[in-house]
Amino acid sequence: MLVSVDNHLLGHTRTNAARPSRPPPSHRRREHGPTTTMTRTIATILAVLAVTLVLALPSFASPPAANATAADDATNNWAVLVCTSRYWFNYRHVANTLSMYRTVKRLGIPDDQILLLLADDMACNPRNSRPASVINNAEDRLDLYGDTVEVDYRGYEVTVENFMRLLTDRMPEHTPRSKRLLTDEKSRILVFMTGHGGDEFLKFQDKEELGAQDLADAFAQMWEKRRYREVLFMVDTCQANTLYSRISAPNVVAVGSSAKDESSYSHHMDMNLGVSVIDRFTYANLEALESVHLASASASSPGGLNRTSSLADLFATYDPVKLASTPGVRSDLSKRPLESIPILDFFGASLTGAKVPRDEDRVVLEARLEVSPVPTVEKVARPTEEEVGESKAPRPVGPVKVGPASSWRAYLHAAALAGLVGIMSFVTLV
Amino acid sequence: MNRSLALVALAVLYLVAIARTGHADATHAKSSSATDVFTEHLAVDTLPDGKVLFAFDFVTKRPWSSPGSRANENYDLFPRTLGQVLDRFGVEALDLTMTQGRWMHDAWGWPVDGYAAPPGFDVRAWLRTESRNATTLDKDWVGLTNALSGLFCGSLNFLDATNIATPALAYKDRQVSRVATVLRHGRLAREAVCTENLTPWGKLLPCSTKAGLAATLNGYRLFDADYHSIQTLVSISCTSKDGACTQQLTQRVVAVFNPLRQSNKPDWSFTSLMDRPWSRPACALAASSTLHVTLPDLPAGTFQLHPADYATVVISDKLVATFDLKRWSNTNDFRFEFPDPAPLLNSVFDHPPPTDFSVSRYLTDAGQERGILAADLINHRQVGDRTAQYTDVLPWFVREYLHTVTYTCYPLGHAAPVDGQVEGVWFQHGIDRQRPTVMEVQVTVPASHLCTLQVEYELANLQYAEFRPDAERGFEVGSGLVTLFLNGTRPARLPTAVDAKTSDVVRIHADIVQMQLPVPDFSMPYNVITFTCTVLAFYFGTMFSLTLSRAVSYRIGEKTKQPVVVKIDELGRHKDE
Repeated sequence: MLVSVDNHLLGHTRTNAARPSRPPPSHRRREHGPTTTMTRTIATILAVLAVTLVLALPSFASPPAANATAADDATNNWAVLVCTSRYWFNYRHVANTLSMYRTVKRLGIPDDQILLLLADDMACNPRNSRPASVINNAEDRLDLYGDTVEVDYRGYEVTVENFMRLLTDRMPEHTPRSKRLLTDEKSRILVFMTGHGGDEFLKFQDKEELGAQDLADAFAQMWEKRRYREVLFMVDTCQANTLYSRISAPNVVAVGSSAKDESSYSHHMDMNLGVSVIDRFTYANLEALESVHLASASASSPGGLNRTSSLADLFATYDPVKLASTPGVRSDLSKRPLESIPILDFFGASLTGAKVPRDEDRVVLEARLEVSPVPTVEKVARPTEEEVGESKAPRPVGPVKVGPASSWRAYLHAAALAGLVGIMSFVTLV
Repeated sequence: MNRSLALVALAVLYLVAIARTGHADATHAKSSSATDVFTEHLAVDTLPDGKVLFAFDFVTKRPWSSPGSRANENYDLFPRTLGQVLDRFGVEALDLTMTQGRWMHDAWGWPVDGYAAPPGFDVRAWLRTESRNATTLDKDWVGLTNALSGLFCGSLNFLDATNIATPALAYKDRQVSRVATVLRHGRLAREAVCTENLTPWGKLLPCSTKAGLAATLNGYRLFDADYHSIQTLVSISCTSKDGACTQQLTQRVVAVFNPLRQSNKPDWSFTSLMDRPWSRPACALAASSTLHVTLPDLPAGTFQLHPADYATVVISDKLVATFDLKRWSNTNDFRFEFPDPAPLLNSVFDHPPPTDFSVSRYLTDAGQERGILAADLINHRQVGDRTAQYTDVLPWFVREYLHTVTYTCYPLGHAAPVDGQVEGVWFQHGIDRQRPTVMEVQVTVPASHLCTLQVEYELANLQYAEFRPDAERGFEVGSGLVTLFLNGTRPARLPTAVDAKTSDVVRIHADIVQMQLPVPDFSMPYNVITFTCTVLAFYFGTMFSLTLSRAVSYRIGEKTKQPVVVKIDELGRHKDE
C-alpha cells in the first residue's frame, strides 16, 4: 500500500533508470480518480489498527485457567511455610509455622513439596526445657517437631531476598532442589507467613521488611511465569490484612488475621517454657483443621470440619471475639467461589476434580521391545591445555612458612638508607 | 536388489543390537561381582567422671573405580544422593561433622580420633586437583557446599572464599597419597544441630532409621546429651596389590550421657538413657552388627553388666565385652548395675586428670577495637616434651599482626617466664572481604610447663549490611586446633576404639571465643534519609517558589495611600501622584 502511494507521489516513469527495484506499479490505480487518496489514507489507518489489534490480541488472551472448570485440574500441591522471627520470645511464631507443617504433612503433602523456612532454632535452643521438641499447646504436649522434619531454610538464610527468589525461582546456580519451589502451571500453593508485621509490611528477623507491593509483584511474576494455578495466602501478624491489599495476580485467595490498626494476639503461655506457644489465629485454624482426617468423611468432633469442607466453612469458624481481631478474606481474585474450594485443595494433597480416566478413554500402548542404546560417557568439559598450562604451577594456597629474616637483605636496606641520608646531608650542607 | 539390501541392513542392525546388549551385560556382570558391604557397630564406654559414651558407627563400603568411570554409577547400599554429589565435584574425601558441646578432655580423656569434633558444622573436603585450576575448584566448592546444605539441612552455603582455609600443617596425616588433592576446610561455629539434621543423615543408611541400630536413635535424648556429634566421613582407599579401590562411608553418632540425670543412682540401661526399646527389627542388609562394652576399671563385684554371658577381648589395654547383635537372643536390653557404687563415685572424684596435655584459648586485653588472642598449652608430664601444632583461622575482620606473636613458657607453679621454642610459623594474612587469616605455629611444650601463645589483633569496621540480624551478639571465632604428636606415648585411659588401630595424632579443639564488633546505629540510614529529604524539601520548596513567583516592588501613593506597583525602569524615580 505504502509502496504504491510512494509511486503515485513520485510520479513514476518507466524510463527512470535510477529507480530501485520495486514491483512495477499498477497503472490501474491511476485510473481510480481523485478520491483515491482519501480512501487510501483511510485504508492505511484501518490496516495499521488491524495489525495493532492482531499483535496485541495474545496479551488479552488469558491463560486457560480462566474458567472455573479448568482450575480444578491442578495436579500437585505445595506449601511454603515461613516464620520470620528470631529470638526465644518469638517461640510462638515457630510453633505457628510448625503447626501448619504438621497439618499439611498429615493431610498428605510430602516433604519434597513443602518449603519450611524457620528464622531461628527453638527445638534445640539451649533455653528449651524440652529438647528437640516444639509444642503449641501447654496441655496437649503434642510435639510438632517429631522424628522426621526437614527445615529447608534455617536461621540467617531466611531473608526477604531468599523468599522472593524462592517464589520467583530466580535462584543462583547450584541451588539444591530441596530449596527451590519447583511448581508449574498446575500447582496449588499454600503460602503461610507469620511473624511481626505492620501496615503493609512484614518484618524479617528484625533487620529488614517485606512490603505488600513486593509480595504483590512476586505473585504477579509467578503468574506470568505460569508458576501456579491457585494460591492460598495466609498471614498471621499484626495488621495482616494490609499485607495482601496490593495483590493483583489472579487466582489468589488471601486470608489475614487482623485488620489495619489491629494487632494479632497470642493465645496462651506455657509456664514451663515461659513463653507464649501459639497465636490465636493459627490456633483457630488448627482447631478447625485438627478434626479433618483423610480416612473418614465425617468430622471427628461434632460440628467440625471434615475432608469435604470448603474454605468458606473454614473461614466461617473464625470468631473475631475469640481472636480479639478482625480476620479478613480476599476472594475477589479467585475464579472459584470459596464455597466450592475444598480445604484439602490447599492443606492436603487431594486432587479434587482431577478427572479419573475411564477405560474407554485409555490409550493402550503397543508393547514394543526397545533396545535402549547404552549412552556414551560424555566428556566433562575440562579446561584446555593452554588454560591448564598457565596455572600448572599455581601460587601456594594457604599459609606460607615465615622464614628467618635474611641478614643480607637487612644490610642492603641499611646501606641504601645510609647512602640516601648521606646524599641528602651532602646536598643540604653544600 | 532392494530385498537383498534390506536383508543386509537388517542383519547389520541385528548385529549392532546384539553387540550393544552384550556390552551392557558385560558391564553389569562386572559390577555385580563386587558388592557393597554395610556393617553397624555400637561402642559403649564409661568415662572417668561417670558419664556414658555411646558411639554408633555405620560403615558402608563399595568398590570404586577411577573417577568418572561408569562402574561408579552403580549404587547398591551406598547412598546415591551422596555418592553422585561427591563424584560430580571431584571429592576424594569428605569429613562433615555436626556437633554440639565440647569434648571435655580434662574429664573424659583422649578421644578416639574423630570422636571429638568442634561445635557447629565442620567441613573438610579433599578435592582432586587433576585438570582443575583454582577457578574451577572454587566453582566446584560452591556447588559442593550448596549440595551438602540441601542434603543435610544446614547453612553450608555460607562457606565461601571469605571463610574457608587450606591449612599447611593441620590434617596432613589425613592427606591421601593416591592422587593430588587440596584440602578446603570451613567451619560454622554457631550452626545449630537438631532433628532436621538427623533426619536426612538417617535416610542415607541402607535400612534408614527403621531397622537395626539406627532405629534406636532418639532425637529427644540425643540432643539432650552433654556432647553429641553426628558425622559423615567418606574416603577412598586402594590396596597396593591389584589397585582395587574401595570407597568407604562412615556415619557416626557420638553421644555422652549422664545417667545421674535419669535417676539418682549410677545404674543405667540402654533404655533409660536412650528411651527407646533395645530390641528392634534387625537390619537385614547389615553384614554384621556388633556391640562392644568397655568394662570399667573397677574392682570385681562392684559392677555387673547384663546380660552376663559375654566374651571379652582386650583392645587398647582394656577389657571389652563383645556381643553379636545378630545372635542377640535376649529380649532385654543391656544394662549396667552397680551393687556397690562407692568405688565408682570415688574414682570420679579422686581420679587424676586422664590427659597430660590441656589447651585453653581465650581473649585478653580485648575491647571493641583491638585485643590479644591467647592460647595456653599445658604439658602436665613430669618428663618428656611435647610437639604441638596450633592452627587458627580467623575471619578477615580480625586482623592479626604477625610481628606481635609471642610464645612464653612458665614452669608450672612458677611465674618466671622462659622463652619458648617455636619451630616454625606459617602465616596467610587475610584480605578484607576476600579471605581469612590463617596462622599455624609449630611449638615445643617442655615437660611441666605452661606455654602461652599470644597474638595481637585489630578489629575492622564492617559495613552496615554485613552485620547479622542479631548484631549485638557478635561473631564466634571458632577455630583453634591443636594437633599433638604423641610418638607412642599415650596414657592408658582411652575410650574404646572401633578397630584396634590407634593413630599417633590427637586433635584437641580449643574453646571458641566470641568477639563483639562495634555495632552501628542501624536506624541511621532512615534518619539520614529523613533529614536529607527534609532539607531538600525546604531548599527545593523555597527555590521553586522563588523561581515561579515574581518580586514586585511598590510604593504607597502619598495621596491615595494605596500600593502602586513601580515598574522596574521607574525605580529610583519618584512620581508625583
